[in-house]
Amino acid sequence: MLKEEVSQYFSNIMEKESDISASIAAITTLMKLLEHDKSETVQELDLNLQSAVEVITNSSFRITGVSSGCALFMRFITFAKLDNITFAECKKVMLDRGKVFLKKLTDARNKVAKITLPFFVDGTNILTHSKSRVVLEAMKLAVNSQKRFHVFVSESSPDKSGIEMYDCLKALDIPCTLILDSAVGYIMERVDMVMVGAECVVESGGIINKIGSCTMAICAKEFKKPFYVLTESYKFSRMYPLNQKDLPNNFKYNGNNSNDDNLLHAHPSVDYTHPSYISLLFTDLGILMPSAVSDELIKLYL
Amino acid sequence: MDKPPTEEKTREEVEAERKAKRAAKQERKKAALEKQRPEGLEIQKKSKDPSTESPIAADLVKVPKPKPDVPKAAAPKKPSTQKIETTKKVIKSNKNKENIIVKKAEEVKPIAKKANLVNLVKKSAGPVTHKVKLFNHLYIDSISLVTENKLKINSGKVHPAFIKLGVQMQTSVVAGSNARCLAFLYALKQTISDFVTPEHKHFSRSFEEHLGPAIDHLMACRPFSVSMNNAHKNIMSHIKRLPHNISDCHAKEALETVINNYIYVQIHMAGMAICIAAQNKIGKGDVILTYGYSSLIERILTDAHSNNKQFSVIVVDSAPWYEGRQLLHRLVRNNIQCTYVLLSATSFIMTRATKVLLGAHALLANGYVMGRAGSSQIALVAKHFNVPVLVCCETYKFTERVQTDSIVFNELGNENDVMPREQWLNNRYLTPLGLRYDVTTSDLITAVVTEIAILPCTSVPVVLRVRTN
Repeated sequence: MLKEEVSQYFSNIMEKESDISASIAAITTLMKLLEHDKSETVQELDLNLQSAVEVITNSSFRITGVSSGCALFMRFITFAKLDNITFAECKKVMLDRGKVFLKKLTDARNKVAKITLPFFVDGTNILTHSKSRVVLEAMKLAVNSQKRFHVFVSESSPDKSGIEMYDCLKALDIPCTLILDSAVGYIMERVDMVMVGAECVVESGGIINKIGSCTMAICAKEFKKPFYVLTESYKFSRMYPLNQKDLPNNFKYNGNNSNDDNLLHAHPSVDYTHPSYISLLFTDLGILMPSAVSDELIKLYL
Repeated sequence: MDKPPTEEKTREEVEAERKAKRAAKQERKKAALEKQRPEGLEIQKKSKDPSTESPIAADLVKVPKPKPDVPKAAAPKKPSTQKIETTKKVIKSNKNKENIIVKKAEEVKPIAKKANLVNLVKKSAGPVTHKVKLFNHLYIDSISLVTENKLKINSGKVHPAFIKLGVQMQTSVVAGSNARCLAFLYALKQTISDFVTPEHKHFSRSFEEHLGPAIDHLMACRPFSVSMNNAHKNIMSHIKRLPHNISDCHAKEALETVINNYIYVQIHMAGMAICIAAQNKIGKGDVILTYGYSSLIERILTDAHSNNKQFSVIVVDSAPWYEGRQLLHRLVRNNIQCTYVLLSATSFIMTRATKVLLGAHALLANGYVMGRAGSSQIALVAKHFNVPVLVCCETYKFTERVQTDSIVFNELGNENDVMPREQWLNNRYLTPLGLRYDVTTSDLITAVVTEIAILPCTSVPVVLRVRTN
């Protein structure tokens, strides 16, 4: 598979299937590459996969969580590298492992939804930001379990993904209200908890998410409302931003303007929420304190 | 006459004097209040400890004829009790030879110029003990330790490398967590290579016995740093695991590789990895604030500079050791733009800093950071100004110990560094205290840069768990 093909395939998934997160799309692409790859040695295959990861991360989509997903995938399948079997067998093992891995990832969302369920108490008001598939899934499960709750959704400029979320919630018959981004402070006293997704969870236990999450988290902290993050564990990433300035540019700005020299007037699309503002993280590994994220990462990578 | 032992001697004199004072205090408690005046002399007579006599007597002898102060004493090295007595004789007979008592007498003299001799005696033998009660557990009863040490050194059980290292540590020639650990490992290596297993004994067991006095000696000179403790534990575990029937030659070879490996992996390579990780966090135009001196921080900053990173450094320093000057000196020599301020100006200068980089003495299991006294103030001010604080620390300095304050475990520096001796020695209301370390809470630290990764400091227990596995 050529680089263009990889890029093509990836953007195809991203555009057509809105229900799939960028990481899963990337891993599906890598799986495809693995299937069609014609390399002769493990080394070559490895290199091909790595260059594909590079192509994907340089695409024009927002790819905050992709690198961690890809890194995990590479780690997972390369455990299969065995010396005493032929390359064809080895590749087969890798493919099988890849499938197992992919299945695990797609199941993760349901797992998160399940462990979040007890936190939906009848009559709660929940504030959420932007559109998150995990949050949506959790709310879907809650409403199907006959829980009664009200959701406030912030509009989430500039792409107005909050409106999308609002529509999805309406379709599920969940009572909801759309609010302005600037009304977060106004609404905070009325809500019982804040629930957001994450594009990426970093080593400190903080999250990188749609711009505005940080504001919401600080506001929630000030009003003493719990700030919950719902996320799959493949979004755990081995990076450690110290502050907003320390976030990589290709996270903050999409492919079109990240190469510009003058980013002064560009709007960042993500922000970093410090772990001290986060109450709990709901992941497929269980309910974690922010400080447990690095523990999990150490276990995963060392 | 060799110099280190004579220095020991002067120290011993001082200790003897202190002991005398202590004895005097006890005696005084028993005595009635009105007896205050003659008591000094009385005690002198009553006292059973031969050591009490010497300094006071020496005072009496020396006061009328003060000599110019020469710090080096010149008494021969001998086992303790005998020695003190002989010292007395030496002093009496040989007045040209100087020791610390002369100095003391001089100090006393200007204060008590018009007072009579009895008063003078009373003052010098007075009950002034300079100990801060809260830190009572940190004062080492060095009089007994030194005595013991003398015996040990003379017994030939302690390897010369350790004797040398002991003196170097005591006099802060070798200072700093990394340097001390390295020096300790080198001394250990020498001891191992010079060790001969006694007949009909196993290498590992007899070596452990052999090393015991050396370790005790070193501990008496200055308590072990966490890094040394960890290194010691690690090496000992390797020694214990040696097969019983191993020959000396093979055992030595194996241990040498173990030590070399430890130095290379845990100290050098770890330092390099931290350098790389920390440099990634230094961006263009950053202003790095650092405190005191850390070999690792120096390495990071000079490396970053040689990699053409554009940044400037603020070195914050504090009394009494002014270690920051050393860092400043080395950075300036490398053409790095530096600002030098004292700790009192931290809140003023912090507004200009974009990152704080600190070294550490140890990382505790609860995520607290033990560092040079003053670090926690820096971290607190940085937190207040929202400046990220990065602590750079190799994982071999991580410890299982948990501590929430700087009191329970700490080390006392020399009081004379804090304040000139003559200003406090005879003032019972004044006790200088020089704490070496303090503990910074984990919420003031943004991240810890280790060779494994950049971690939140709450991950210390995980790293410890991983390391033991």
